[in-house]
Amino acid sequence: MVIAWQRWAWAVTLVVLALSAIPAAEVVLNLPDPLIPNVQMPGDIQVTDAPSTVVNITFPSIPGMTIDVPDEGGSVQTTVVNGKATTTRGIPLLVTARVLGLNHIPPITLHLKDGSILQTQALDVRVEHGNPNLAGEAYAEAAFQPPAIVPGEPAKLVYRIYLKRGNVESVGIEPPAGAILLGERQVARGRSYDKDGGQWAVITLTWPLTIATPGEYRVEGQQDFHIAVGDGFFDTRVQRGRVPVAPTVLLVKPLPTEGRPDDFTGLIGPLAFTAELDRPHISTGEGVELRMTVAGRQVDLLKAPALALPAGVQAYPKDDGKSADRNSRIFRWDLVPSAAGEVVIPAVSIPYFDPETRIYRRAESKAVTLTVVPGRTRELTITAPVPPPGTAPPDTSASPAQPAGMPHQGRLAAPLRGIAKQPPSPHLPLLVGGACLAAGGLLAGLRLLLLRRPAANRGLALTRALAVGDLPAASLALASLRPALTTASEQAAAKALDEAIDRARFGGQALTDPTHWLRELENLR
Amino acid sequence: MTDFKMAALAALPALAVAFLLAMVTGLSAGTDPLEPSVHEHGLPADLYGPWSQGRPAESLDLLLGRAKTTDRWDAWYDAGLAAAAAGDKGQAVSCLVTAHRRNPAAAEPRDALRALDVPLPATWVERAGPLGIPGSGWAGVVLFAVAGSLIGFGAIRWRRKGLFIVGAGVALLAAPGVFAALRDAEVPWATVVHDTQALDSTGAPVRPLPAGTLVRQEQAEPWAGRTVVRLLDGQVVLVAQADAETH
Repeated sequence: MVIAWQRWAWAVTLVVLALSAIPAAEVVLNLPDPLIPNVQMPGDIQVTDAPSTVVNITFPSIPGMTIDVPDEGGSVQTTVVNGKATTTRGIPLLVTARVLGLNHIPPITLHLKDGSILQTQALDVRVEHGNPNLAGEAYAEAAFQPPAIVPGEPAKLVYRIYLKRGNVESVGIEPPAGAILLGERQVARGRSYDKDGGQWAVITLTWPLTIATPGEYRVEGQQDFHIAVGDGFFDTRVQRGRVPVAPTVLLVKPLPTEGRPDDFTGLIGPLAFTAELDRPHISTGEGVELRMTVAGRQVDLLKAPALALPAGVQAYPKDDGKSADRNSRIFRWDLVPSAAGEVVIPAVSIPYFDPETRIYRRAESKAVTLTVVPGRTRELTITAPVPPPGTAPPDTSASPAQPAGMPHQGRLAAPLRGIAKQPPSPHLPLLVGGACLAAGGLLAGLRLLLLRRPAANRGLALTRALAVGDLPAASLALASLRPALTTASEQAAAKALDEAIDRARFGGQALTDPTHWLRELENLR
Repeated sequence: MTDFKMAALAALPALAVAFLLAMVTGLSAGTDPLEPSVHEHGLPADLYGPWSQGRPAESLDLLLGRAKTTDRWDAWYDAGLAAAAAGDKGQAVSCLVTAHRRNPAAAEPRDALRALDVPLPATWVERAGPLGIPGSGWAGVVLFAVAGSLIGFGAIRWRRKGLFIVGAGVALLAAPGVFAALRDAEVPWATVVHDTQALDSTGAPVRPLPAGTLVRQEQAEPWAGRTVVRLLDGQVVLVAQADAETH
């Protein structure tokens, strides 16, 4: 019995593994959007990882629409990602629609060679007339969205460049003078169709902007484009062209005066305003941070809201907090309640102009409640010895020489009034000592290098030895001088002097006067 | 030129720089070098006028403004005395501790703190006693300059060991005063400026802390709007950031 169950488990496992190894087929119907009425437009069916070859296609009956499969065409593309191969076959279609509006295409059935079938998803496509302005090689148009605003209200300048072929190198228009850009220019690429169903490339540039001053702001210009023409690789040249951009106008109306709040600072909605405490419960004597966050545009115009705090709560303004983006601002206060209890920080509101309804509104924060719990305290009694009778009372004058007002304080000295000597920075001795250490070492090193002791003067030693009658020393000095003898006269003088010294030392003769020899030798080193 | 003269020559530039610094920072006594800077910052010259007329609270803001502007120790000291006279013990202790940190060798801030019943624990300058006198203030700069020159020169000209030994002796003479001032200036004192509660890590009150309590800051970074401090009895507690002033 147990063995039978094991066989069943193995069989089920193998079946599951086999099924999981079969690639999941996918069929997608791709059609132009929109379709141009009465124009035969190309589309295709993309079949991915089909288990077998498609042998037949059954198209549903669609009123006002014809779908044909051309005799030629089709594509096969195989990609390998992480060792897994994916094959996609493209089956070309030619679609002709005749009824304007939204057309529903039921699933299309594909019959495969192995007898199985695949179906596309149902699809809704629009059938519209093509853009009648698209003619020639290029077309450019600009528009403000919305075409009329109030100062500070955001708007967009949308500029579309349509190209039958080719490309553009520069943009033919710019936002009008006086416009305040609210972000980076955005560029998008897409497709469009002319009235004959011809496909055009569209480059859409969008500038988010606003204007601060009422008036009319006009945008116009000319758009350059270029097309590569020629028959082959070596016969390609660039043909340049230019099309005018139809003028467009943004009307900036002044803000209405009716219903304008006195504290209106020019903020344009929408605006969000929140208030929060960093802690809902504190002890007496502690502080808590109140944060009010305003999210909207131009919040830089806003001043810190005035707080209407209950009595006994002191507010200390702090620097603005770090906001997540430029469209929000965080005002902060340190609140210090002086007594325990419930402290309600009332709601605060900020006026703004709502461009959608064209009326002034107020963004209001919610009231927040802070619970202050009493801290543990202990009464302290300070006792002091009673002064004996007749003792003078303590000096409590309020002069600078003896300030008053502090209980239990000793006698304070007089103020210095700025006459005290200023000490050096505690680090200065170390810095100066280190600098002098380096300077001393440097000087000692320089002295070692530059002021070397001169070599011994052998000629002078010879002269001194002869002057004191020390003949052995004179003989030695003369011997050490021999390497320095360079001229014939020096060598002759040295030889004569050497012989005279020998005669005096060993021959018993008096030393001949060596003056004329020494003239030659005494300056040698 | 003898080696000793060369070593003295090495010390001359450093001594000249130290002298210039001394002149710039108002070494010369008998004048009030604070007044020009006060005028520059648009504050009235008679800072002590209201105080001398019995209204120290009116002088306090002016003196505090001057102290923050000049950051001189005597300006902080005077502001501390004015705060004490005005009855603001927390501010008084805070200013006096700042004055002590700016000039640890000066006895006036320590004496004033004692008079306010907030004595500083024994400072390194006090511990050094007479040993710290040679190295205190500008004398320490001069002695370290001489010592540095002699040691530097003697270390290279090792045959002149005498220079090295004399330099080391001079450095030893100045070291207690110099390092005592350095240690005292780096103690992270903080002052409780409002009556508040010491809190534990859960935010529960541990004990009351009256204004003027002296504490040591344990961590530079605040935690949940509170500062971690160590009381003088060794207990580590948290104090609301708005209630403690660091120096």
